[in-house]
Amino acid sequence: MAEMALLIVGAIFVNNVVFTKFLGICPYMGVSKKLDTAAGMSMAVAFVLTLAGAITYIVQHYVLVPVHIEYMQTIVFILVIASLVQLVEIVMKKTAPALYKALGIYLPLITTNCAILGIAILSVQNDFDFLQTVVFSFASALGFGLALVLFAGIREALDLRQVPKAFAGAPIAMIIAGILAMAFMGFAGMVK
Amino acid sequence: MNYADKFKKTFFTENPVTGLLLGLCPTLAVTSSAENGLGMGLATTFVLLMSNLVISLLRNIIPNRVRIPAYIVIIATFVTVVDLGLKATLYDLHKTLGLFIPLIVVNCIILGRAEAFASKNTVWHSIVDGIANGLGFTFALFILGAIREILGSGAILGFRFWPEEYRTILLFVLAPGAFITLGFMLVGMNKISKMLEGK
Amino acid sequence: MAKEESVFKVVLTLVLIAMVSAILLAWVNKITREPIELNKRAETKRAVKIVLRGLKNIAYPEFPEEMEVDHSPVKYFKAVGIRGVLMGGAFIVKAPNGFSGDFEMMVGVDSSGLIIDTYVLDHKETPGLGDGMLKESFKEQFRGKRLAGTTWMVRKDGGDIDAITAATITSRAFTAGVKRALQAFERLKKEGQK
Repeated sequence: MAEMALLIVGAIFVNNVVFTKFLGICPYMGVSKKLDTAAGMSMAVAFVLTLAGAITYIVQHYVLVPVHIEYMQTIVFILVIASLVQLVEIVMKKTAPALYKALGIYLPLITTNCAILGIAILSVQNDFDFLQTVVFSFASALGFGLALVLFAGIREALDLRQVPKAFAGAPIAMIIAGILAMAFMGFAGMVK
Repeated sequence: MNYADKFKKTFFTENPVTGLLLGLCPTLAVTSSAENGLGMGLATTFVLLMSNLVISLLRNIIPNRVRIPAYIVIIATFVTVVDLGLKATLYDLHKTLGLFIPLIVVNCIILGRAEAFASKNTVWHSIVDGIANGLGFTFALFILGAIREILGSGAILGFRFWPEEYRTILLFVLAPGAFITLGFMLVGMNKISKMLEGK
Repeated sequence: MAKEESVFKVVLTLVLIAMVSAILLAWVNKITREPIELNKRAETKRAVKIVLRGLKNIAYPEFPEEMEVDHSPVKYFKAVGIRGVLMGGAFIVKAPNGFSGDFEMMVGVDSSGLIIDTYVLDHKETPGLGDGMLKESFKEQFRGKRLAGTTWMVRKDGGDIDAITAATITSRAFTAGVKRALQAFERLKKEGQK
């Protein structure tokens, strides 16, 4: 149990996906202009990432390894993730229209969110078992959400400030992300 | 097609990284040194070139409805080729780039060029487009890597400016330095682009 | 877009693309498998040469043997001299709980249990901080030490090892790794005497 807690805290704070693993930067910069879109994106990512972690684990250990085609990992994983996103979209549309309305527009963007594929591959590389994979995927998604929502909050406030013209938009956002990353370095060493 | 113009565009005004903000994950993650930036850039260029070539060849055969999955399969195939090829030839480089080699698959630049260019243009033009965008990407990664390596480790491509024992601005090789350097680089590149356009 | 493609054509194209891709990858995998294996082994061999340098007239096997120390697997190359006398060994251990997880290192020990040198095989420690463990100034203090007579902890924890500036966690992991390797050697030596 303590080990699981460490895994969770580690994935959210110490080894945050965005700030130390550099995964999912594109949506991080893209959908962080408003707080509510950031929250929506975070939830969609949490949902897909956890599911993708579970399914890629099964695919890796019950298909790729027994058949000895581990070298097909990249291609199989990305196909699994792409079809999963499609499937989630269809199922959600039919069964939970309210949820679909809230998260639907983010779903297509998720296929190319490298955090999904990255975390799936990392779980395999770290030799996680099924439960660890699921917990790690979900905690990583929480870490992504935390980073995204924090950042969106700052960017909303930033809109009201005067930024030197050359820095307006992406450059200042990048520098703020750097400062946030610095803050997250403070968590380093908290686990272990 | 004017080649000089095309390359000027993909290097500056429409540079995939500094102009369009695509492919940011590998850009930030592997640029702790100029050499790594260069390696990642060239690996991506290869994938971009090959996928553009094949997709443009097949552009009239692939049914419109399933073009995205088809593109993903083609791209992922070449990514795996690069992954295995690098492991067999440049083992140490492969070790440093690690996870970010398979992640070339989800680099939006590649799918972006496939959808926006290769699926509509002739093979020859798609090859040029692939090389131009790939080298533009490589250029951005190399510059970012060089700045971070010089400031953070006091060296570039094995050439030391001051002895190893001396203190350097460590921040630049650490994660926050990646974001901050790219932020300042965006400002610089925007200025250069404006100057080029003004002519 | 104007004409609606038949399902048959859609499926057929996808299957064909997937098949061509699978065949291509199987072929690339086949031709690269051997060079990749060789690269991996060459790296280990290079490391063994470094950590066992100075030992004369020794032979070690092509592939490492395995044992367990503290529930963690240790791979080792036994260095034997003439008539099979144990002359030392190169131990591949997991340095536990580094800054970015475990990392793999190799420790070379001579026949009397003194450390010849250390070599980090694979690590994800922070560049500029944790990778200070690759520097001479840090590695130097380990050379010539043996399991007995040294408290294998960093000074902050009451031991004898000078940690790398601003990288105590990495130093702790490194020290624990070295200790494991030395324990493994002592065990090997005892087994030899039986």
